[in-house]
Amino acid sequence: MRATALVLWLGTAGALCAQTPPDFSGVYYPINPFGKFVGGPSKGSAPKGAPPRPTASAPLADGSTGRRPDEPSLKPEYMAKWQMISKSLVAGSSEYDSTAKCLPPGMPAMMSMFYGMEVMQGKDKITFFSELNDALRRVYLDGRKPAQKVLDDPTYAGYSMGHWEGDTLVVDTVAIRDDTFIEGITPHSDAMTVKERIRLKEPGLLEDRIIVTDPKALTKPWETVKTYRKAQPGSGTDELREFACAEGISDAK
Amino acid sequence: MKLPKILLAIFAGAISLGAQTTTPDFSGVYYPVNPFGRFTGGPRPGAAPQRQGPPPRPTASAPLSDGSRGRAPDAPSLTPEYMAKWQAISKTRIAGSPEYDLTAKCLPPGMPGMMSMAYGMEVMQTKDKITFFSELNDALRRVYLDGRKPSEKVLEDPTYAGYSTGHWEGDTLVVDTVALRDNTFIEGFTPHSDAMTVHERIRLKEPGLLEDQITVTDPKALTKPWETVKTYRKAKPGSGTDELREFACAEGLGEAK
Repeated sequence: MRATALVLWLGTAGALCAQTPPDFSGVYYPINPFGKFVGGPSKGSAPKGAPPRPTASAPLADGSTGRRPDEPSLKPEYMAKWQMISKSLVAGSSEYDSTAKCLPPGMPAMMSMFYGMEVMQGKDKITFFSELNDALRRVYLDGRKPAQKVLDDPTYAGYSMGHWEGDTLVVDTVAIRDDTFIEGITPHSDAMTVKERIRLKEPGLLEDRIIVTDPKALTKPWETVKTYRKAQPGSGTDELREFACAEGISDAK
Repeated sequence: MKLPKILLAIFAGAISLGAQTTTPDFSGVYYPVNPFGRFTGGPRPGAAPQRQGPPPRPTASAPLSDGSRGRAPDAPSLTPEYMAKWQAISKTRIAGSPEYDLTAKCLPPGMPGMMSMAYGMEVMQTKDKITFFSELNDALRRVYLDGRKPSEKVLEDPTYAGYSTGHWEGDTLVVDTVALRDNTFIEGFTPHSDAMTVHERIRLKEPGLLEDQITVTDPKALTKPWETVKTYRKAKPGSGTDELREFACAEGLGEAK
């Protein structure tokens, strides 16, 4: 019985490996990029009188720290960092806003792709291009590993290696700068790594299951799922426009 | 009757030739060969300056000590209006101003300047599109190969990279680029007008050696089309040079403030 099961399993695995990987190439747009909105007052609870004054310990009227339950769970040190960044943003400062400075959003935030995303797939490499700030990310598929030089010199996009497991692209990303955000304004440490499982959920619908691990900043790994819809050729939306972010910087001067 | 038949036969032959040839794959990371062209300036060998006293003062008509206007004979030939513009830009550059220096402002070099690719260049090729990525300022350029044409919206809203459409002629990729911004440079800091278009013939001259024959046409700024040839050598896998690094130019802007 066991031998039969093994043979069956091997046969299935072999067939899975033998199939040609799917082609993700194309221009995509995110579905619901900001997640499901769960904040705001509950129905029927119209505010009575003046709202309570915000306090340091309860920056939101509901007494929470302003972080949703599905957001990355931060350790005290990084929660303090988040509160500091949060205050600076509420005060209107762009000190921590790297995209306002025309810098790339970095991994994994760049996979939120509030603008368009272009995927260019080859046999040995798949490239993701974010229309926002013209950010590029390469995933090497030829089994290469990062050089010491790369590990010592982290980047916004990091260094990504991938392989196919059936119809799913499994990607590991390392060597990511520590001054980017996981999502929104959630900080992370230099120990952060990102694991992704990317597949076509159905034709024209790309899904990215992201797991962020950071033993210094997170109390547990954080998981999120992004979905993108492919633009149809001839729809006028399958061509991304040059962002040239620094145009705005010159204008502001 | 005879002649058309022969022509038809030649035509049919050309079609079958086209159908038989598989298009070459340009994909890979490249570095320019001699990106700044051959240096033709400077004093002749053995011609050490015999000058007595201080060098002559530069004048408006002769900004260089050899009496030339500082443009190499193979530089694009400008109409008087654009020559005046070049001189104005030239003066700000000599004075150290980055006013006209787009790449110092973290903006893309633009076409055809970006094909000079003083840094690395990454080519990503699929059946319907070939993409050129310039390591310098992370500039991206797409060449659509599926026969599409730019929409009116694209033509009215020019970009640094412009809008490129291409097709294969045997082993050569023939590309036409339109809808280019008029504040970029053809090469160096030679200006152009909004009427500029770029025609390219790109092929693998030999394995691992990519050649781009560029013809720039601009009836407003140039007295005649300007031609140049760029050559790029492909990085070998495992050499450590076949991975481009993120440029993130704006890092420098933040620090300079």
